Amino acid sequence: MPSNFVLWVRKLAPFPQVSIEEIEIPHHGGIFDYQAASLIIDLPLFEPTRVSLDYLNRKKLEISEDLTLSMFFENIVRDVIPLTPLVAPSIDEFSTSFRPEIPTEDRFIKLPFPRIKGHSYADDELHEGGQIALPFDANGIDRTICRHGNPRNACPQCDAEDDHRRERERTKLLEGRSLDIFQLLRPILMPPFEQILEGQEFFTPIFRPKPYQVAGIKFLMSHENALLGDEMGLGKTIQAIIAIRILMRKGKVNNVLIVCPVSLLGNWKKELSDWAPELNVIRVRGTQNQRAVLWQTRSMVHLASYESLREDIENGNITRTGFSAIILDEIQRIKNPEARISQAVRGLDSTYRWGLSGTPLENRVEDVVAIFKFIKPDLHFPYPDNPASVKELIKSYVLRRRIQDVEVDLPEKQVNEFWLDLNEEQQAAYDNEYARAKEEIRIRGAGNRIYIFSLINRLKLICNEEETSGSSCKKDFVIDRLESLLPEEKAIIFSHFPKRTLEKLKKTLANYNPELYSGELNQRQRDSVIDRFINNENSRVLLISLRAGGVGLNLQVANHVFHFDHWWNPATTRQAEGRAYRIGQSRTVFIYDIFTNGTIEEKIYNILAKKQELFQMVIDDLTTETVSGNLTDEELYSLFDLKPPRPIAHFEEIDSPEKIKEKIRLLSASEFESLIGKVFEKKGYSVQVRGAPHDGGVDITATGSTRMGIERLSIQCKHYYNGTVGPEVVREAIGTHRLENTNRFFLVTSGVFSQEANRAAQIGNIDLMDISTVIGEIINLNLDI
Amino acid sequence: MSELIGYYSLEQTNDKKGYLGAILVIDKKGIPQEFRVTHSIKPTVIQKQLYGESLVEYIGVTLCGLPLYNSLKVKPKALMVNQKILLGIGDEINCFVAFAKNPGEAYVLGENHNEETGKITSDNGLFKPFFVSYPQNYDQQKELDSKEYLQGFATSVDILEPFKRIKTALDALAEQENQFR
Repeated sequence: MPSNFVLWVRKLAPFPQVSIEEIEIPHHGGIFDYQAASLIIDLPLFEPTRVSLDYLNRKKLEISEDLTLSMFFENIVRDVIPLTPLVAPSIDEFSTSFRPEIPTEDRFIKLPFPRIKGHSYADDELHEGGQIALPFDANGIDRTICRHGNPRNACPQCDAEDDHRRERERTKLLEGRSLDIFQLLRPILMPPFEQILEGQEFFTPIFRPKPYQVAGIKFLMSHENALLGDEMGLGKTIQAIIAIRILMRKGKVNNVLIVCPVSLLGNWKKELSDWAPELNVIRVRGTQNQRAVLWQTRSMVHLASYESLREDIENGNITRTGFSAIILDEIQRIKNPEARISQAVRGLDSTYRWGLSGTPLENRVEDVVAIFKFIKPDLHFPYPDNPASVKELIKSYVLRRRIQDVEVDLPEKQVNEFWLDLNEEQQAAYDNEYARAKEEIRIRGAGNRIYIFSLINRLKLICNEEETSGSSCKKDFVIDRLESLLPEEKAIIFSHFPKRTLEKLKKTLANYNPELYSGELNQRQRDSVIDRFINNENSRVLLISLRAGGVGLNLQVANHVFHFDHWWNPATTRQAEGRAYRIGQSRTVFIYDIFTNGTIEEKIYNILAKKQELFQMVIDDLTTETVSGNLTDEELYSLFDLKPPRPIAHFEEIDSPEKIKEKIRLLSASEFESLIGKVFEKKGYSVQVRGAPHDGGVDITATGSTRMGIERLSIQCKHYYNGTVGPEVVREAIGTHRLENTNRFFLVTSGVFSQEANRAAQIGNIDLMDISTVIGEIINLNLDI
Repeated sequence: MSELIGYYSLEQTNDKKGYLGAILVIDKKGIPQEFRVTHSIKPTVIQKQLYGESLVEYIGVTLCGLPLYNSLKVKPKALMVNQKILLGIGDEINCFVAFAKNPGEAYVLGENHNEETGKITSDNGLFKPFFVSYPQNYDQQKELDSKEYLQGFATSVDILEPFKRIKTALDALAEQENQFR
């Protein structure tokens, strides 16, 4: 035993705050309490051999960390810390003030020795003068009795309970995986960036960025607010990871939040471990309670999905909202400024705010404005409806490269369309269903757009497979092609019907040990599906639901991609095949675009060919509503060789403005709002009636595409039948408009506007619609009330 | 075992009322192997009066430097210090101790080193030459041995740069933890 040693201990209750004490025990010395010196110094001195763990135990003291903390070693706690005295015995009297500040966080790990149970300083150790009355005799042996009736230091029950509790605490600590702050410092202590770029230690030969990626990394590092919009496959993820890694080493960033679609969590985790192995990453997942613990756990990187982040912010699971850096992957997820996720992420605070997206966003003014509300909240868009000015404004924050712009050593990609004839059974079923659908549309008349989409899906399913017989020309084609694959080649098959197409295909293609990746799988299952497909050479086919796996996955192991059916937006198809055709792909990639002749697929193909530009600009998500808002009635009905019906009967009824006016008079306020919503819907906008509890002045929001880009409207309804709306209402609306992120603001009334109100509206740049305008719109649009 | 070099830095806290000691051990590639730091030590007014000019040296050498060095799991063969007054630690520990001046900083001949042992050049020309001081009790031979060892590092490591890392780390610590302020 060394003659001198120092223990750092934490004193427990009843002191008002947790205190750290240094106890120096030289063989000739005493005990120095740096927090409340008098308490311990006044105690009778002990012989060094008597100052044992038992004594500390009785004193309710715990040994904790020593003065210095190790950064790279797992076990930072030692029973006895063999340090030389911190304070020389000869200068005791003032050494008491050389004390460390009080660490407030609980990172003191209990030693494996029994503690006194059922014992309180307040009860028997402190008397009125604040002096300690020792609960042990002059020999230092505690003879008091524990609650089990045994001497406190010799009670097996107490020992067992203590062991159990300590084990629990230890498990909890390990589960928390909480990092010591010194581990967090490791990136800062690594060699500087200049040495890093030399690449001696930073990058392994396998994981080394390409020159254009280095440019992207530098761009991110030099921009606190940035949108990296490289085309899919160029490695946005790794550029962001390396940039973060370097910023951590430079000490500019110490905690990062990465948010991505749930399907990409596994991919991010893998990329982080490949490209930044020293970073500690916590994937926030599980139940709400589990996630709450994970959010509180200290880590260099927190990785979360958009959905869980939104939920946790809304539920208050995330107590801290500040990060040094936030990366939003597939940032187009927040393009709707009113979506809850958009609002949630805007509440987060961070120095570095980066967005990643392979989707061309620069043409979508509205989306860009919404996204930059997160990336650079203080960026002011004076003319949001002017694409040129918006582009100019964001230019310095956006880096977008296309594959052909950079020197990427990618192999060839062969895209081929295959137009197949339906099998006999399929054709019969298709004809039957088509005729039935056509008839149903005729019977139902106008206003059934969503229903029409469901009919389209039914027909598309028959194009994929005739259910009764299982006959499918596409399936035959795929089997035929798969048979010609080389033994080492793998294939991916995309469809947006996971249940009714992919699950059946899985059975059919059993010889190829297919894996199915769909939205029904949880994250762990998804990861293992991808893992099996990549690493199991017998697994030759991966069936992917377009919705679940169309973005973000890295599947260079496959070089044959089948699009079994197609989503409305061709860009979605291209993005999906980008899973295989990306950096790391060494073989020619064969794309099989499968269509069926003379079917709804061909008709959609033709419409999309005409509208391709609009679709590529406007649609990139997989919602029917978005598609619905951008197909005219004529186009939709033409899929069934029909013309959109005109509601003649209604037309006659509403032909008279007086009748319409009378009908409007009878409407309730909410019905009036619905009517106005219908007016704008009929005008081609995608409409959302907010409802009174959430309106905040705005009753309806509407979104539509114009030649200038996306237009967003806020609409406020005032059902003042025969009433006059005054200027104060208009001014209030102007105020509301300023708070809304919309291009135009409409104030609509079932009454009229006063002259002052009209003047105020002109000045405040809002649009007014009085009863006569509303009636005129209803007549023009043949709208039923 | 790979060759190691330690960097011991005594820094003032941001409020200038206290001191923090930190020691970083790196290998020949500059990769950190171990890092230890003290909590802040804040001398009282009385202590300042009593210790006078020797206060910083006392804190730097006795209170922080030696415990830090002794607590290292693997002891480096050389220890660079960021202040000349910390050279006193060399009297107590069994490794080469040196204080390096920044390139371009005034070099005063006649200090406790000479031209032969004080100037260290990077053999591959990667880094600028720099001058070092050794503890007063070093004889010529020990200075030469120290120089040889440091010269070995000067080809792959910017000898003064790790002090910047320590400073950055201490700043980060101070931001997050009270006891380092």
